[in-house]
Amino acid sequence: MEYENAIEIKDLVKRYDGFTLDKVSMTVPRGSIMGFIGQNGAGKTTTISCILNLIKWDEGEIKLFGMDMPREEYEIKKYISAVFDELPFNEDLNANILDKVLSGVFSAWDHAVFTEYLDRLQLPSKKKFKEFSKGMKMKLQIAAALSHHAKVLIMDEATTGLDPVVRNEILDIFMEFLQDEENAILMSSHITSDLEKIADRVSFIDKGKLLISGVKDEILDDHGIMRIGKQELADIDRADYISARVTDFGADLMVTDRTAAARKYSGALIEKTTLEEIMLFYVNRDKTFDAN
Amino acid sequence: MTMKQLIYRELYLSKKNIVMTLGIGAMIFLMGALVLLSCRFGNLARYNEPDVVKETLDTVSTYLPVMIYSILMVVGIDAIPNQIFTDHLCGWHKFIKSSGVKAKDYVGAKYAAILILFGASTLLMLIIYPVFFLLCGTAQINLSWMIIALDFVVFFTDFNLPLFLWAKKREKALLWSAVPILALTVLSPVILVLIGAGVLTEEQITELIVSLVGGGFMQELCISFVILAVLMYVSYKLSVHFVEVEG
Repeated sequence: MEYENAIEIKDLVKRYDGFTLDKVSMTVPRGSIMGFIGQNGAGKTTTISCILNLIKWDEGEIKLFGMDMPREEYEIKKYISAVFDELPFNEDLNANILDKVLSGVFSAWDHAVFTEYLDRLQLPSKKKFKEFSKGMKMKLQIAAALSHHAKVLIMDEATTGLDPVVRNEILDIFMEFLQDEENAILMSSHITSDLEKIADRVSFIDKGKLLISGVKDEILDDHGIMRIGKQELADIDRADYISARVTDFGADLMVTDRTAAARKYSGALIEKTTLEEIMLFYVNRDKTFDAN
Repeated sequence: MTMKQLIYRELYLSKKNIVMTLGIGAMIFLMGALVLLSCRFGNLARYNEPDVVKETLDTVSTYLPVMIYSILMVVGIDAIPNQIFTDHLCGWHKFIKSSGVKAKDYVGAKYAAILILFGASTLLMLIIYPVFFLLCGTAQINLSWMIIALDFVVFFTDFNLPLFLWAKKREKALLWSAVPILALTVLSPVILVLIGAGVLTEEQITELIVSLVGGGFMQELCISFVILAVLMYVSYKLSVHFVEVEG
């Protein structure tokens, strides 16, 4: 397969009563991890459901490996793996039975790889899933996702609710998966610290609109927190910041161009920021909000 | 390849129900066998008039195999369609769809598993029947009733599978699945009134039901087979449609 981008979404629109996914466009190049962040109900799951063709969308184009979804759905799905926030396997099954079942589901199912992952992640093969902890269930899902030689992993809140040890273990596996430059990961999560650690690119969605999409380091380099006194807030051009957070000691402003802001407001303290703060300020865009 | 493993999953998850059903079937079989043995060699034969004993023998040997057969097949009606709710609860339906499994394979595995269970029940009855025959010592076995039982069981299964796939939630599905039972309940007083008025007799109703599936045994079997095959095909197509349009 010859392709540049593992996933390409163009002007995706999905309308629900009271919610619209509004012209979402993003690209996940091969060999990269795209972190997909946003609040609950922002549109992450809807976007992922469209990519997987679990729901029909109203407008827009989705391509995976350069192939059109849904026209080439079954060919595309040979090379993708979806990981959901909850274990999608009946809890009366065990890993041995699952191995047999999934060998029928995926044409490229690799029993040896699955067994290897079970050993490595210390997952019992005869224990019923109902006796698994949340971390074990997620590890099992990831083991299954990686055992049929998929090229793209699509994960919906896969690391949410896991303890840091399990999360790190899983993140290590993702990094290994990306050793092959043909592979790519789209990972939606609330936990921005995980994405800060492993993502190459970040897309941020809020209320159905994609607000930021690009290279993570560039986003973090460009954005900054300008710390000023409360009385100075009136002197700052409204177009120069996303939103302002008022604290007891002053005001924090999220600026989109750190260098330009430093030049324009010389003397102002502008610090580097994090994805979590960017998310917070964008969610409260166009308003001044309280730190509490 | 896909279907085989999916059928295996359906049967594996029905394991508990199969064991339970076999247990209940065996208990009823034993109870019936005891009655039949008593009719021939025990207290029922000793302390009752020959006419009463014969009537008991006839009744038990006619209806007990039908009852056992129906119970054995209930696992097909109950376990497999009910698995649909668990699939939705755990997200298996979503996983299957995201993995590129076609709706016809997902649904087909459920129908195939049901057919396997029905086939196994019928095979088991072919073993149980000679035992009943030996116990009765007479040929009171009425295959027409067996076919009617099979028709009912398959009809309810064909009704329930697309219904459950459409409803997705247990409460909603169970409410709708009560419709045929409610229809029968509404029909029953009408039949009772007709019997009371002397328009119909119980014998006529029995004959009517039996004649609905034909005259001779082979004819009954053939007509039943055609009707059930058509019903199952329509039911399967509806089920595939509901899975495809989902979401």
